[in-house]
Amino acid sequence: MRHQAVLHNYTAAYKLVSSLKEIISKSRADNSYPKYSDQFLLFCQRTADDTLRYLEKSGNPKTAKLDFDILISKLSAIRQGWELLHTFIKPVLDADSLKVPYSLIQFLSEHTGKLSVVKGTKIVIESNPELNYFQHRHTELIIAIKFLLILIGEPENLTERVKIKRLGFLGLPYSQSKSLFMNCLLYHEIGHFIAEEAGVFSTKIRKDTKGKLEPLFEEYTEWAGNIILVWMEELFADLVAVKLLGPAYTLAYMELYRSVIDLSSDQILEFDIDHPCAPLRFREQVKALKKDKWEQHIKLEQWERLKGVSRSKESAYKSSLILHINDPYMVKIWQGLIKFFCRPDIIKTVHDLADEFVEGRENPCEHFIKSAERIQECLEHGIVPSFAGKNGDMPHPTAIINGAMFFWLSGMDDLYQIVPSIHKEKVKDRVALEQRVEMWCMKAIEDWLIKRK
Amino acid sequence: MVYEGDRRLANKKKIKTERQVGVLTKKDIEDRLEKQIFEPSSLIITPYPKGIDSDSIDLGLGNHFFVPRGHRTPCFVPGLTNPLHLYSEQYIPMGSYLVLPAHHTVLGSTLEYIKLPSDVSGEILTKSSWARTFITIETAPWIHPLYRGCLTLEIANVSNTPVVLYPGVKIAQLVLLNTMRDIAKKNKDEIEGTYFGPVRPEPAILKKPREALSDLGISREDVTYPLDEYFDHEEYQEYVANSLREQGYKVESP
Repeated sequence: MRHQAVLHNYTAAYKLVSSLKEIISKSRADNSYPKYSDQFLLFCQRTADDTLRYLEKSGNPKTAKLDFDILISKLSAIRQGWELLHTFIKPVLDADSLKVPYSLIQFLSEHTGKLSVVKGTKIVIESNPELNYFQHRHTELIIAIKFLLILIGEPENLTERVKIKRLGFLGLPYSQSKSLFMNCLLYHEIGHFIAEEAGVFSTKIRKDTKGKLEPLFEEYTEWAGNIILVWMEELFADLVAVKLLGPAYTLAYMELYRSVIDLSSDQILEFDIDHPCAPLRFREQVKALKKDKWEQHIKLEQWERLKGVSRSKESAYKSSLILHINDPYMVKIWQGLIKFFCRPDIIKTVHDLADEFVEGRENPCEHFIKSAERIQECLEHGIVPSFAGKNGDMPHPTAIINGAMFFWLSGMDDLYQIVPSIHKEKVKDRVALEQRVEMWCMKAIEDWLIKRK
Repeated sequence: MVYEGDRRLANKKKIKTERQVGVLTKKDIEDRLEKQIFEPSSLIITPYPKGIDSDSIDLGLGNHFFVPRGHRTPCFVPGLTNPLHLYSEQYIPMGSYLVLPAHHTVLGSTLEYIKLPSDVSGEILTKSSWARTFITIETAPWIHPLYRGCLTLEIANVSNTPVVLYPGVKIAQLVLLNTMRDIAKKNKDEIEGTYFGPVRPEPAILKKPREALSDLGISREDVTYPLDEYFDHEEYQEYVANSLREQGYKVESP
């Protein structure tokens, strides 16, 4: 009887894994995937093969050497591993080469992989049904995969294990495959990836922060500490994005924000459970941009645009949660949390961490200075901005992205002039031309990547 | 140089400046490539071409393809059928390949983005080595002055064996010819055109049959459609009537 139950469970697991293997194999045959997505999928496919072999061999308790209890507990662990992989595989399969900004993703991997703290990073892209960007936490997955490989006893997969080191899973909205400007927000998710992979908010920072909170929050210290650390990580991710990419990130973030809420409303002053308020985040990004000397090299109107949203007073900051709470004590606690987070020593800690963890990066402002004029000129004349002449260097992708972002936000007047059949006042025409500019820039990044190879 | 026998050229009143007309040589091409972007007479090719022959430039194959596919539309009616329904788009990364079966076609594009000068036309041709494998890359090879974009290639394998195509390989050559006049308006590189600045192959943009034929004076009523013959069948009439009812139209039974 027990033998039948074990056989039944092994059969069910076999069915699940073989179905996943089939789906991966067919999708890989039908579509091309960005390099590291394909590596991840290939790894899953091979691990599925190994798992199926194991299940076939061990699933029959008559021939298996282990007793029932061990077989059942091993099967349970294998199932858990595949359940977790199940949640990662589908969004990766959905993000084939045509559904992602391919050249930007390739560059993002290369750019991040140069940082010493996350050297050799491989970015795997997921397609997100929601209209937002996210970083899929990977630590649990990596542990589960390692455990799975041990359970199915496949030592030859050790090399594959090395390949899946430093995998970063970033999600982008499925509708944004052709967008360049909005996808600059992926740099924020790179910040979250670094925070997780390099353990930025490790025990020491956690302990220090909670130490500072204890005299103020007493029995709420643990709870308050968790929220502060989440806010710190958000700010850290912003600063990493700005340091790696430059103002294009801040401007993209502003565009996203503007599409959701009115930037002049009080709503932007709200902290929620996961995020500090927008003016504070913009203010700190502007500080980081100043430090990289962007202020001297971009037009005044653009600089004002950047500074505009960050001008609110700290005393006006509030929590979105207390709007629905009438308890004066809780209101006081939340206001205390916000006040604590705004303390110069806390903000400075985040800036220092961002500086430390992107050490060795190339300052995007320096790339921008070298090629800003050329990029502007190319775009004004409808030319892909990789153009460098016979002996010139192609502009760096970060310079292309920043230059194009400024060009777009300045209204693209010169470009409209050379294509009189496209009318600036017509929304449909505007979209067509803006999409062209984004495509030219992606092509320029692609050209840069090819030249590098 | 003025050609004998060309009356228009012989009339000096109509020609403000004497222009050299003919195929651009390597030196001409390089001179044009050296010009500033803002000059209408500049030639731009990016990435910068590695192979410039004595009178042509080698161009590579891009990464994007439109592969024809079976679909539910029974035929392609210009201007009415969505051309995107005829193809599936493919991205082939560098190092990977696309197999083009015997007697099949695919839309591709050049790897290089080009901008032609305002006084130069171009023609894109299959490189002779590729032509010997019975691959042709272009059926509408002419490029107008001031055109900019990656060039769409209508690649056909007319051989009896499947052929492997690798993005990046030099498959085309661009020949440039001076035009008799400079078309730049007020010395600006103003451009018109249906296909402006593409970086990947783009499907056809065509007028609807009635619109296209009205220029010839053919009335709307005289234009027929491929599906007309089905209307005699009761089954099809019922199908159309039901479809219209589902969309909220009031339709009497046929």
